[in-house]
Amino acid sequence: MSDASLIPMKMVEIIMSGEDLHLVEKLLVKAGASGFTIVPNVSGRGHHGSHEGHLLFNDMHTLDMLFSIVPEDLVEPILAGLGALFERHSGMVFVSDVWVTRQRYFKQYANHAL
Amino acid sequence: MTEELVLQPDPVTDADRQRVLAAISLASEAVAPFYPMLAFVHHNPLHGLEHLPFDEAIRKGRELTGGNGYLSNEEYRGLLADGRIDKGDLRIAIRRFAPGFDGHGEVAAGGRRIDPLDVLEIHLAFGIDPVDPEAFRELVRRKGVLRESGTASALWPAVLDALDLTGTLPPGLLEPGGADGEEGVERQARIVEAAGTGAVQAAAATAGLGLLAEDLGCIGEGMTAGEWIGRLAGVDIVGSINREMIKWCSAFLDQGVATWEAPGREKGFYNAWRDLAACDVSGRFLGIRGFRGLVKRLPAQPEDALIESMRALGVRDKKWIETLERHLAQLPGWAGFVKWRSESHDYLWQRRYPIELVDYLAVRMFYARRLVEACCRDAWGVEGDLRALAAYFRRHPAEYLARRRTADANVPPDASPHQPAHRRVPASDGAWDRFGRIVHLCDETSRRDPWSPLGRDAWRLFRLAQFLALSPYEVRAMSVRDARALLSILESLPPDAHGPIWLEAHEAKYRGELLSRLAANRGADPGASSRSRTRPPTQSIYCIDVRTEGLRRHLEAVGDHETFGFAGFFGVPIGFRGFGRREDTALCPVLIKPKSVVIEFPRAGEERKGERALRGLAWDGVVHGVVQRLERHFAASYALVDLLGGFFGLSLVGRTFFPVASRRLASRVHHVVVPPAPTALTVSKHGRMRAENLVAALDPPARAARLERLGTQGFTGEEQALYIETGLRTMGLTGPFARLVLVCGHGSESTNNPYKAALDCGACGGNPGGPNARTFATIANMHSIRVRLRERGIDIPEDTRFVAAQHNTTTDEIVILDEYDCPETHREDLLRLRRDLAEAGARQAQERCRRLPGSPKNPTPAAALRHAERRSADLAQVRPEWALSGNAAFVVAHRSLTLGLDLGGRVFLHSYDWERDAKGTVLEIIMTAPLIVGEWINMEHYFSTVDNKVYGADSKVVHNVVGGFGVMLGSGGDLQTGLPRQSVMAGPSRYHDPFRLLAVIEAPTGRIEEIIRRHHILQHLFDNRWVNLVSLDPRAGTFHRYLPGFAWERLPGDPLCARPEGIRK
Repeated sequence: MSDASLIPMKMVEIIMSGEDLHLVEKLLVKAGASGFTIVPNVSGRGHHGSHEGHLLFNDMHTLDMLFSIVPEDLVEPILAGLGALFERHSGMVFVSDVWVTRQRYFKQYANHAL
Repeated sequence: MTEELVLQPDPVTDADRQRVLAAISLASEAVAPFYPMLAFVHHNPLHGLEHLPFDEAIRKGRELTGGNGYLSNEEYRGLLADGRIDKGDLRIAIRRFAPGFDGHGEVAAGGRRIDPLDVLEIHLAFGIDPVDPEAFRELVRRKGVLRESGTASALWPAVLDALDLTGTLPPGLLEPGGADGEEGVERQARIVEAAGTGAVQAAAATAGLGLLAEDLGCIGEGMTAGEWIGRLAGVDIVGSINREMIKWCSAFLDQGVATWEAPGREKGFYNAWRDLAACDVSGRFLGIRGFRGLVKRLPAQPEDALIESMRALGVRDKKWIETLERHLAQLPGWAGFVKWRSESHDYLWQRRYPIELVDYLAVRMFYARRLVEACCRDAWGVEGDLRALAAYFRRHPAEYLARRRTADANVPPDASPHQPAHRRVPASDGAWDRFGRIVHLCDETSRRDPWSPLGRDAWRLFRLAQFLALSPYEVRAMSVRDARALLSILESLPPDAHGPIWLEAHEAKYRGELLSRLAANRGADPGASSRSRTRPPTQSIYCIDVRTEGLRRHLEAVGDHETFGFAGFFGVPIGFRGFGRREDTALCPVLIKPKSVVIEFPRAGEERKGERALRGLAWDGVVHGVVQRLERHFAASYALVDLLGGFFGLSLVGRTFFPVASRRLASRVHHVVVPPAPTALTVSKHGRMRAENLVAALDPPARAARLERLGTQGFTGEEQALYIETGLRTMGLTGPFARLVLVCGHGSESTNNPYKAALDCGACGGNPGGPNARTFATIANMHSIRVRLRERGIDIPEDTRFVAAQHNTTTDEIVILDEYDCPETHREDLLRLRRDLAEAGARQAQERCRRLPGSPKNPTPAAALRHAERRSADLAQVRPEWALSGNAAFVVAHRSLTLGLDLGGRVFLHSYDWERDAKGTVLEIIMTAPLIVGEWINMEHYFSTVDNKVYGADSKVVHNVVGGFGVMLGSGGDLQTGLPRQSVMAGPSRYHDPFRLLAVIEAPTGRIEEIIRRHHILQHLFDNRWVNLVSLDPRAGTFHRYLPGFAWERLPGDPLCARPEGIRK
C-alpha cells in the first residue's frame, strides 16, 4: 500500500432486505456517494438463521447487498441514516479501508441531487 | 422550561438529513402505498404493520387513523344469534384467548361452582358492561329495571348483600323518579359555592399541571402539536392543514385531467409549492401573518425545512418517526399515493414531475408550525411557539384542565351548565379557570357518588346472576370475595378486547365446514387414484383467482377436461407494449419487476392491416383529444353543446336504455376506424448480429440507446425454458400432456367504472392477463424450448399444442387468442373445447346470477349470459360483478382434493403436487409469492368490510375521480384507498365475510414448517395471525393447524365432529 498513486477511501457494505434497498440507495445518493454496486438476492447465515435466496417471484423479501466507496467524511452521515433504519429493521453495515487509483470516480456530488 | 418540551435551534447537519430520511421511510410504514386506479392493486391497508401481531396492528391502526379492525361487538352478537357463529366455537376461542381461566378459578355461589368460561361466554354474548351513575339512575328511576318482576326484585337485594353495598344505598333507590330535579338544583348551588374555595383552587391546579406535563410528553407520539393545540382551542388545525395539502397535491399530481396545469412541476413538489405559495394570498385567510415572507425564507432543501419545523414545534429528534407517522396518517390516501410515486421512478408522471415524501412532509409541517403559532396568538394572546403556550398554561392550570376535558367531551354533567359559551374567550375573563375548578370539584363529588358502585358493580353482578340463573339464595350465599372475583373475570376481558375472540370464532365455522368437505371429498376419491397418469383430451390452466373456481368446476362437469390453477401471470413477468402503444404495462405481481418487455406487432403478412390500424388509432387519438379539449374549454364548451349536443344526447339515451346494443354499435364503429390487425408477440431476444443490423443506420449515440432498449425486449432461450419449466413444475403439470393445453388469463369489461382495474387480474398488477397467456403459449410451442425442457425431464409431445385464451369475468365469455397459430390437426380439439367453454361460461353466469343483487333469480344459462352482458354495459351499474369479494380460503393442493366440490367462488385454487416436489422448492415459490398476493387481496376485502369509511372507499354514488389516478368523496377529502361499499356489501348487509385468509396446503407438515423457518415474511404472516394456515398431511389425511412459534394443532379428519386434539411443538 505504499504506492503513492493509491488514494485511501472507505468502503461501506450494506446487507438489507429487498424492501429497504430503495431507501438505502436514496440515503447514499443524498449523502453524496458517487455510485454503488448492488448484488441482488444474496444468501448466507446470520443471527436470524440461514437465508437461501430461493425466491423466484418475489423481489421484495430477498436479501440484497450493496457496496459503495466514499470519502471518509461521508461515513458519519451515512451511518446516521443507516443506524436509524437498522434500529427497527434487520440489516448489517460494514465500513472498511480501501485504496483506489482514480479518485475522481469517487468524488462527492456537488448538489446531493437524486 | 421543563424537559418535556425542548426546542432545539441547532443547525441542520448532514447526519440530521440522513436520519430524517430514514425516519420518513420508517414512519411511512403506517400508510399503505396507493397505486393509481388504472392498475388497481389489492393491498393490505396495514401492510406496513405486518411485523406486529394482527390485534396489535389493528390497535395501532385505530390509534393512527381511527379505523376499526373488527366488526362491532353488537354485529358479532348478531352473527351469533343468526347461527353464523357457533356457540361451541366461541367457547373454544375464549379458551384460546383467555387461557388463564381454562379449568381454573371457579367461583362458589351457594352450592354451585361457576366456571369462569361460562362468565366470559355470557359477557361476550350479552355485554355485561358497567353503567355510569347517570345512566344507571335513568335505568332505575325512569325505566324501572329493578322493579320488573318478582325474581328481579328479590335478586337485587341479594346482589347488594353479596357486594356489601347495602349500607351505602342512595335514598329512594327503588322509587320512581321525581326527586332528581330538586337534588340537581341543590347540587349546582353547592358546587358553585365550593368551587371558589382555596382548597379546590389548589387541587384543580395540581390536577391541571399533572395533565399538562403528561400531554407535553406525548407531543409527537400520541398526538401532533396541531392536534393538541387545535383541540384545546376548539379550532380544526388538522382540517386546515389537510385542506391545504389536498389543494396543492391535487394540483401537482394531476395526470393530464386539469385544463390548466400547475406551473413549475418539473422542479419537484417542494420547490414548485415554494414558488407558487410565495405568490399565494390564501395564507392570510388561514390567519398566518407574513405568510409569503415566511415561505420565501424557507430553506432550499425540504429536509432542512422539515427538521426546522419539527424542532420549532417542540418535537424531540427521537420522536421524529412517531410524529411523521401521525402526520402521514392524517391523510393516508394522499400520503399513500405520494409514497407510491416516490418508489416508482419508472412511472411516467414521476419522471416528469417528481415528488418525494420528504417534500410532502416539509410542506405539511410548515403549515402545522405556522397554524399552531397563529392559533396560540388568537386563542390565548400568546406570541411565539409551544414553549410560550406551555408557560401560559402553567400559569393557568385550571384552565388547562377545563379545556382538556372539554376537548375530550368528558365534562361531568353537573359541570356542563358552567361551561364558557365560546371556546375563544379572552384569558383575562377567568371563565375557563373557574370552569376548571368546577370540573375538578364535580370529579371529586362523582367519586363519592353512591350510585357509582351500583352502576359499576351491582348492576353487572345482577345481570350476570340472571344469565347464570343464580337464585337470590345462591347470590346471597356468596362471599364478597367471590362476588368480586366474578366481576374481575369480566374485567379481564374488557369490551375492546372481544374482537379477536369473535373473529376466531367467526372463522372457525367456515374453516370447519371447508375442511370437513375436503376430508369427505378426499375420502370419496383418495387422491392417488384420480391423479391422472393417462393422457386427458384437453388440459387448461387458469388463474388461481376465486372466480375461476366456478368456471373450472363447470368445465370439468361439461366434458373430460383436466384443469390447473396457477397465478394468472403464468410465471412470465413481462412488461407489455400493446400494438400502437408507447408505454409498457407491467403484467406481473407487484412483488416483482418485469424481467423483459414483450411487444405486440402485426403478424407476418398482415403489415398492411397493421398500418391501417395505426392510422386509425392516430385519428382516433386526435378526435378524442380535440373533443376533450373543447369539452373543457371555458368558451368552446358552450359551442360544443350546440354542435354535438344532439349526438351526445342520442348516445346517452342509447347507453342508458339500450346499453348492450349501444356498446355493440360503438364497437363496430371503432372497428371501422381502427380495423383489427392480427398480431404476434416478440418473445425472443434479438441476437447480437440482428440487433446491430437493426441499429446500423442510426447515429452512434442513438444507436447505443436503441441497442440498450433492444436488450430489454424478449427473453433468451435459457430464460424462456426456465420460465416454462418453473410454471409447469409449480402447477404439477409435467406430464402426460394433452393434445391441447389452454392457457387462460382473465380480464373484465365494465362501463363508467373507475374501479375497472380492481376487476382485472391481481397477479398481472390489475390488468387483463391475456398477454401473459399468449406469451406462455407462444414460448411453450417453440421447438427449441421443448428440446431444452426435454433435457430437464419435461417431455412435451410433438402433437401437444398450447393455445391462449382470456376469460371475461364480467360476461363469462371466453375468447381464444392467436387462433391463427392453431394447426389444422388441432381444429377439432379446439372446436370441442370452445363449445364446452361456452357451456361452462353460461353455467358460471347462471351461478353468479344467484349471488348478484338485481339479477333474475332462476335464469336459463342463455338468459344469465344476457344479463351479465347487460350488467357490464350498463353505465349506471355500481356492481358489474362481485369480483374477488367473498374470498375466504387459498387451497394449495392437487385438483383431486377439490374436484367436484362447489366452493362458491370463494377459494383460490393453486395446483400443487407434493409428490413431484421432494425438496419443497415449488412449495416455497407458491408460499412466497401467490400466497402473499392472496393475503393482500384478502386483507383489502377484510378491512374494507369491517370499516368501509376508513379502510374502504365508501359509496360509489358520491365518488369523484381526481387527477386521473384516484377518487375522492364529493369535491374534497382524502383519496379513497380501499374498495367501495358496493364491492363488499349487498345493501345494508355484508356480502363479504370478513375472515382472514385460510391457507390449506396439501403437503407434509415438516416441509411446510421448514419453508416458514426460512422466510421472515411467512413467519410474520402466520405467527402474527394475518393468515390462518392448515396443513393436510397427504399420507395420513390429517389436518394440522399452525400456531405461532412453530406449533401445530391437530384437527380431526372431520373438524365439525370433534374439537382440537392437542398441540405439539
